[in-house]
Amino acid sequence: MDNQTMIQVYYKMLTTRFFEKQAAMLSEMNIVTAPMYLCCGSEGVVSAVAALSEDDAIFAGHRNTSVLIGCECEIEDMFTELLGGTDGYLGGKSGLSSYCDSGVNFFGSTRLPASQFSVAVGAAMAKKLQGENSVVVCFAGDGACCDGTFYEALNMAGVYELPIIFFIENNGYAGKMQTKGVIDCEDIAIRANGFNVKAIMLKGNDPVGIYNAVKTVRDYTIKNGPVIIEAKTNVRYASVYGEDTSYMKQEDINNALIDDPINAFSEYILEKGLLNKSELTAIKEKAKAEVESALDRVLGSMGIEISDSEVV
Amino acid sequence: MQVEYISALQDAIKDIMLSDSSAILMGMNMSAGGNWGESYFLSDHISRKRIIDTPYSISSVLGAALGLAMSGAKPIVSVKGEYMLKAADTLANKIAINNYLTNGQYSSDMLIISELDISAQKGAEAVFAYESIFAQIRGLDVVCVSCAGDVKRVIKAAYENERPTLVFICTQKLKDSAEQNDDTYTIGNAKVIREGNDVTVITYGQAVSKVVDAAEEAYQKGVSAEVIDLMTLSDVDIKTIEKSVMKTGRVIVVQDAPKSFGICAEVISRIVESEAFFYLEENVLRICAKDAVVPYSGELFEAFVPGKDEILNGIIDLAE
Repeated sequence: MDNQTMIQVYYKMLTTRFFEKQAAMLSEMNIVTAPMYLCCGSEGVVSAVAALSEDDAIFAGHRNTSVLIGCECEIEDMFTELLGGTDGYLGGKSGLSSYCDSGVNFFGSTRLPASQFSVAVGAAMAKKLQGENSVVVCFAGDGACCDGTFYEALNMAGVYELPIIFFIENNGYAGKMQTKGVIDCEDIAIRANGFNVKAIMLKGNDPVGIYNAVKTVRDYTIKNGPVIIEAKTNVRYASVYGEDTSYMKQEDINNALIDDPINAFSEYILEKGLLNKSELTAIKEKAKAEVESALDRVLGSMGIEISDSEVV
Repeated sequence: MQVEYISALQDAIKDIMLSDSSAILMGMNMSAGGNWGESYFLSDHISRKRIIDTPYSISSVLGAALGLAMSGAKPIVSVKGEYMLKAADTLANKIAINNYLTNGQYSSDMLIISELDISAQKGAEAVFAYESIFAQIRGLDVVCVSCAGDVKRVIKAAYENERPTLVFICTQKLKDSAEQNDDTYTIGNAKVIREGNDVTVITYGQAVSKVVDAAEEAYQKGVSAEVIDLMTLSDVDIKTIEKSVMKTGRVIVVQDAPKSFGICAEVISRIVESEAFFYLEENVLRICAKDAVVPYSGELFEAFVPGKDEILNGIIDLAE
């Protein structure tokens, strides 16, 4: 991971965090009533997207902010869609959880988290048929791996030896349940056994590790076929933002703060001597300002006013 | 020229795949003749790369078809009727809405070929008469081919339709032959298959031939029935129906599927909403299968599904 990529990834991770902060605010103020699926705590995923090439096709689930920002979808368009504006990129037809952007080869997200696996397999079939030198990456959570579609998709990916990476963010919770209560194994990755699919496991809060692994796996996948990458991530908020978190273990919430990928990455960058503290702060301010001004423009064009006293 | 139903289907698929290199045929058993024989001899003409055998996991196979369509290929997916409810999830929640959700950025154009089949000695799990569920899926066009002569033009129109399109073939008709119709078929159009002045009989699918036979016998008895084959199920061709009903003033709707919440119910609603309602001289008669589980035994089956005589009696009674 070169220095420039590192700074870009750091910036996008921060952008993801600030975007979600604003989205959460809009939710608290009831301006947005759609269920809010925040990825806060797993922004390291941005790094996986950064390791891909332009021609690679990307699919995501519903907890998709880091993938959207990673793919460089327009922040204004994302806010417009979230707010239900009808003159944005997707015309208010899909909502943010089903967002897509063909301009950056982002094939789409889905409110039905497991349904994307098989569609991604089809995109990989097309790549193989057309002899393309690129891959499909399908991001999903551990909960989606309970669905039969996951195993059906693994089966097809293995049988046809497809250039596809299943990137599973395992945050330990499937909806409002602890994952170990609904999947009786510690690691999703071992489920690759029996499908002619390879698997690796990663720490989700380590952007450099994720970047290097995805680069290597990408080359492997093009030549040899499908791979599962399982990243152990954390989740800081309820499955739907604002809902009761009593089903979550306090220890997990604490770990999400301790293992925060953004903090870990800023420490790494400082230790490496790539940037100093004030330069890091400047990047943070820039990301914050970009997100906030994008939201201001969207609110302005939609004629939505938020008084300062409402801002949380 | 007389054509056999299944040969017409084979030819239609072959012609499409010869003329469009982005066409891909996929489904279970495709390299061994397909579900009904539709892909026999196809590999003599088309590269095996474009004839894909898929696992028995139809919901995901349709998902994969969507991924292919989004990547610029044009899938033709063959699905046995008994798997269609598994397919329904992907059809309704992914394929049919994809164009809308992506604001037109990604295509989900594909042709899905499945079957309507209500017959004896299959058992309730293997028959298929849930067409009304699929006709309800917005974003999906649904057409049913009852006549061998229409197979080629319907398959061609469905493939060229720039929306995901489901064509139901009639499994019980595969060995039937008819005069080939080379007119272009436009999705949404019903077809008047027999003209008459006394009663309009509206039907579709495997019931069509029974209705035609009944209409012929009624004619011998002095009653002239006009018979309309709906063909497109997802969009009732009310114009064609209206014109006929305003002429005859009497309507019978016939389906081999169970009565409640079926295609016939929708047809009647459309008539009631239309100008034709004011021309009705008699109450509308609905002749359908019983609201019951499809039986296995031939004896039970005869009592379950409407026969030609029931339709004939309906025509005569209504005309009097």
